[in-house]
Amino acid sequence: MSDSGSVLTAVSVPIAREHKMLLLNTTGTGAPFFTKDNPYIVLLADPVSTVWPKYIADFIKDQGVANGIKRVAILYSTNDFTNTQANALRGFLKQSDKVEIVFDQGVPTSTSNYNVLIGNIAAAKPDAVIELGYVGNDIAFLRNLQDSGEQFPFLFTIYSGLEKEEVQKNVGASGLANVFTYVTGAYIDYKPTTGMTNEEYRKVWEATYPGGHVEYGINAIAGYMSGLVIESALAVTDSMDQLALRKAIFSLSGKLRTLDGPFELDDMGGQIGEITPLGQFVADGKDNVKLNTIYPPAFANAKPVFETK
Amino acid sequence: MLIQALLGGLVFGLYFTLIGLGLNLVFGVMRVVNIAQGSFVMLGAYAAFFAWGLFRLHPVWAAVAVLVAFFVIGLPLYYLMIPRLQVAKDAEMLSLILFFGLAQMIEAGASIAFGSTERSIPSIALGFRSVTVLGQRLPSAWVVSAGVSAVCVLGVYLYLYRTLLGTLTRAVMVSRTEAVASGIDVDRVCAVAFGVGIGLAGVAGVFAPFMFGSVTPAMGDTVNIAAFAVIVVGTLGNPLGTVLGGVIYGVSLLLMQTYLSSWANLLPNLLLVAVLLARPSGLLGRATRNA
Repeated sequence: MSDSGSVLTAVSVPIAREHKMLLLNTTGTGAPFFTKDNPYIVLLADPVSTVWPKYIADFIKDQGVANGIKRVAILYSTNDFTNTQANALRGFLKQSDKVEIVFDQGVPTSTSNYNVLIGNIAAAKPDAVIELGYVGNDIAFLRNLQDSGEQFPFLFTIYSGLEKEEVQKNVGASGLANVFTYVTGAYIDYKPTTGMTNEEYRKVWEATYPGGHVEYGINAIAGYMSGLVIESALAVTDSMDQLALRKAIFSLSGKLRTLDGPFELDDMGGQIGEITPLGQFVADGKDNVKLNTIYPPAFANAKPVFETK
Repeated sequence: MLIQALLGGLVFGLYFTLIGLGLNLVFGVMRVVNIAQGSFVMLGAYAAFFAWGLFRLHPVWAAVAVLVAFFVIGLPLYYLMIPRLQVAKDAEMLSLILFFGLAQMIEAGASIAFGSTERSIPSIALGFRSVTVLGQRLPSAWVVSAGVSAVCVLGVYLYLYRTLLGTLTRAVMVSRTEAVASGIDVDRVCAVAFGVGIGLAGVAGVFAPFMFGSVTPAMGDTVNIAAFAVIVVGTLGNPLGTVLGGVIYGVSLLLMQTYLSSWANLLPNLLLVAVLLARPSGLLGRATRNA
């Protein structure tokens, strides 16, 4: 199942389980898909979504509070992928008594207009705004934010990092400047033990899809990683029985390093080895931005910049 | 927050008037349901995207060009599809199937031609980012598209009520059979109305990249749901009732976003159900039947 997000995965999980077929799940990261009583699923390329926002919360608690980031607004799309992240983020932040959540609202994933919501968020006077949506949501949100003239010291969106080319094409470099986001394997060299390096793969991708019809991003990497994992599993499986395939994939856990980082599974088939460091876009010339890694310190290559009002 | 939702909803709703206007005109005149309306909105959006990308054509000028181009495209499309439908026993139902097929073809073709990723036009293409009205900041896209929508509504009003062709069109809206018996060239009247309907969809599409943040070939279904809510509330078959439907839709949507955001996408369905239960002929139902 190649599903950027979790919409198709949500219906695939019960179908695969019903028919006792192993669901090779590329990027459907919603935490509810992975349960102890269902062996017919394995997540190949991205971490489960409860893992994703950990470094956002850690950063705010470790460094944000010291820089005046104390009031947080969370705006999320109500689908499995982002709803789970919002729940996890809320839980992480509530562990600190120095951080207050002043705005916390879900919106339908089909939301394409955020003007009124941005006004409502601004009225809550947050220091940090964390918008968790799909790529269309993030583009609409960032465009509406530019038009509104509102600024927040800390602004986070998911897909500006995951699909940078696509988002930048739609909101411009100025719309991405100083935005915090996740840092994917496209920006960190995890020194993969299988397949091409990021640089080699990107060259092949751009030769295959010239003209920007299909942008390079996390989904491009995820598809390739899934192929490599499946190839490696087929090489070691005892048979083509569905649970034998699962066992073969699990045998790779902890032994494989991909473009996305260490390939590691929990006992429910969720991907937990790969991480999503926190990054921030900064201006790089007049019409471009570059992504710095900000947190955790082990990966950081720059200091954060907090937008001033 | 209330003022922002009310004022914003009023302006935002005028855009949805534009989306529903062509659909309602076509239904009013031909009694066929153009479920491909959303696909023509999408094509209008891509036309504006390429007009801006290639020629830096201002969206308002792009809207004029698209109106003319889509009108011209609509004429042969009418003669290809509608007369055959009109001789069928259940033209309304068959039109749903026919236009659903057309919508699928357009979406698939657009995906192949343009790719499936998001496309948009920078807000600055409109010349300014926002306008402050009654202390509330409204995005330029809302203001410009509301203005264009108002011009289109006025144009449709003048076409229907101040021209001979419009008089003939209203005659067909009241009774196609009697119009034929009176010697009216019904096909010519309907072809023009169909062309205008497609043209209005294209104009709505020009502003879609601004109003929806970005567009993809798959956006048609979302547009259709909103359009149907607008025209059913405003009165199916009454093009000018679309204004009322659009404003009610826009204000309700922004109020929902403000006070009950998670449930905002229920709104079109709630409005449809509420109007169909309380006033099945739409809020301006009586006016339509006597037009």
